[in-house]
Amino acid sequence: MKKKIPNLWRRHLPLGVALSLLLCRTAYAQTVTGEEKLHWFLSRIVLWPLIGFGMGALASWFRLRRVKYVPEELTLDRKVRRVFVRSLLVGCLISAALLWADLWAFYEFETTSLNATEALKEMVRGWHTVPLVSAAALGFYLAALAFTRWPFSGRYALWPRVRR
Amino acid sequence: MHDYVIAVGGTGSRVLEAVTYLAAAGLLTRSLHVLIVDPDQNNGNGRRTRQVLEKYDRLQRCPQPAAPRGRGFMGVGRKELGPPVLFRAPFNHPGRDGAPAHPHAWRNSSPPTRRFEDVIGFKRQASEFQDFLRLFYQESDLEMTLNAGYRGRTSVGAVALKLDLDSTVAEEGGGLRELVAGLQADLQNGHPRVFVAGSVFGGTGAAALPTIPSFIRSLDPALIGPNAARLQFGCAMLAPYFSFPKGMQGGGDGPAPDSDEHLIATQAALLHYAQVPPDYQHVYLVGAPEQFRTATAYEPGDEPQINAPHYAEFVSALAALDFFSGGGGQPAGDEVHFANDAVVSDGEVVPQGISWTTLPTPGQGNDEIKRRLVSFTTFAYFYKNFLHRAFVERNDYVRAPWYRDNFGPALTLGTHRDALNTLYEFSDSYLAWLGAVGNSGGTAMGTLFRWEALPHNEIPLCAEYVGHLTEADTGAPRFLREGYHQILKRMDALVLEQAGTPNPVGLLIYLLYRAVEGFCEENYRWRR
Repeated sequence: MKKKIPNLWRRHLPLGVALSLLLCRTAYAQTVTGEEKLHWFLSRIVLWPLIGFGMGALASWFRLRRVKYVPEELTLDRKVRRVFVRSLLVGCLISAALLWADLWAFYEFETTSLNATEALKEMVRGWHTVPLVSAAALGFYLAALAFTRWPFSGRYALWPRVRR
Repeated sequence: MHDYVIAVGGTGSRVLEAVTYLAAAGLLTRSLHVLIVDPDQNNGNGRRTRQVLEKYDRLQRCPQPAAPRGRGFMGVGRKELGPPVLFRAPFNHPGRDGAPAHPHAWRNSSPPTRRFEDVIGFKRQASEFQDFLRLFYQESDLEMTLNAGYRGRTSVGAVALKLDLDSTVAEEGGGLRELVAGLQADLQNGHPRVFVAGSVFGGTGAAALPTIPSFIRSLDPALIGPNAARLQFGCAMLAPYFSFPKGMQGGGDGPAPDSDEHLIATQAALLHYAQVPPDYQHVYLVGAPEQFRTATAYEPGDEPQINAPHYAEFVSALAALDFFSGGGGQPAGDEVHFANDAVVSDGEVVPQGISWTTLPTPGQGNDEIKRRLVSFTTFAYFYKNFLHRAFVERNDYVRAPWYRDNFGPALTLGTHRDALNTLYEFSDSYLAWLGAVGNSGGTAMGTLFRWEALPHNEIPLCAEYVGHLTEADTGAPRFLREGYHQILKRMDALVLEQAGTPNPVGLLIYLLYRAVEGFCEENYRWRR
């Protein structure tokens, strides 16, 4: 009688295979040189702020500009700032994840290619992560500032203007 | 050039109160000169109207931006925003900036405790003439003190009022002199219109309505000038529309008015007018099919006599609107009949009820009346229930975009607490009046407004209602549950190029009304 594979195994087998693949070293595993990292960084320093700006625009359109007054509120500044901070944190996480994906799968280093774990290690150890994520955050903030500066009830939440 | 309103007695006072609210809503724009003529100087109805007039005057004197322009998108470009709408018509202004308004009420300097027999000098007459006078007057009439009006005795009032008007027409500060002086000035260049409002079934109204036009026209040319014939008179004659509890006859200082006699009194008055027409070019006869009880206790006069507002007074105010807009022609068929007059359709009498389409508003159009009143009601509702408490109890309004963009150190609401309180009291008074008007129509009253919304002041409930104070033209209101957000959002979008006024309360009124008007137009799907 054929033995059926238990349900537990059926559910977790694909995950186990993926994990082991992720953890395998590639055939030609070598360390990325400093020069290559610099090239990569310089090629991404313009792109990441643009990605941040795009995320900021989406967050402004779908979240920030839909913040509503509730009775007794006369200003939305605090609410808008809370939504902005939460959205910014999410944006930073996404930009870090994109950074990792870029190192792992998109960018082609000359001497080697990194697997997922190596890409993660490069991110954690490397000096480039903070500037790139910060640049994305800046782009995010500028987009939010621009889109909330339109006639919008929270337009002084992110850049207060002196009263007339 | 002014328009003139003479409000006779308690009923006339309540009509004038309604006129004041219509003026506040922007339906009257020309200068108005008003005068309450009531021998019962302390009458509760007159007193309430004087309070409303004083508050209106204070708010009208808060100048709003005259020709405001707003900044365009991202501060680029300019757009015209439209002139102010609310509180435009000055009432009783003397024409000099800062000077106090002319009196709103006629001051009768005669002793309040005098009796009618003193007025006509009864005891000085020969006995034969006294007997003659007794054909027209009962003993109770002769002994009646006039401190609480004429108590439904038209025969007494007609004589006493004429004598009192004659004796006070030249008194400085008495109200009548100022009115006549205004007429004289306006008669030099035009044909001023004088609207008189009063009841035909009471004491003061029935006595004064036929008296006033002839009294004014026959004034000494030194007072009224040579052109008195140019005056145009209109009149809202109110037929019986309310009742009150019976009082004790034969007690107190004279006869006790009885609302059961109103119909008979009206018939007598109208028969008299048919024989001796009062000198009105335009007459609006207003009534109601049921006599709604507007008082819970019997009060013959003086301060305790105060009746609840009624829609007949609101309709009379609309009649004034029509008269001043140049209407008031002879009735053409059913056009000026009131809504409760049923329409005959296929031989069947169909009651129409009181609605926006059946309110008598020739000249200005039902749509315009409705839009102004709905917008003003929303304005008053929003300010009273949401904004006022924030202004007086907190100061976070200073961070609101509409405040930051339009006000400044020289233009701050914090130092105008009195005017803000006046705006609150006026809004509260208007909403209470409107609620009482809605209540007075009984089953005939349609959904002019959502009457159940008006008395509330709990924030969550008011937030539910503010976007649904009336029905939309088609379907449900667009912003049924987010009226609060939508109004503030529109207010935040208003950035004036210049404040255009030194008065922050005037600026607040302008900004809030603009926001509310835009909200109402979109919310109730009004078509332009």
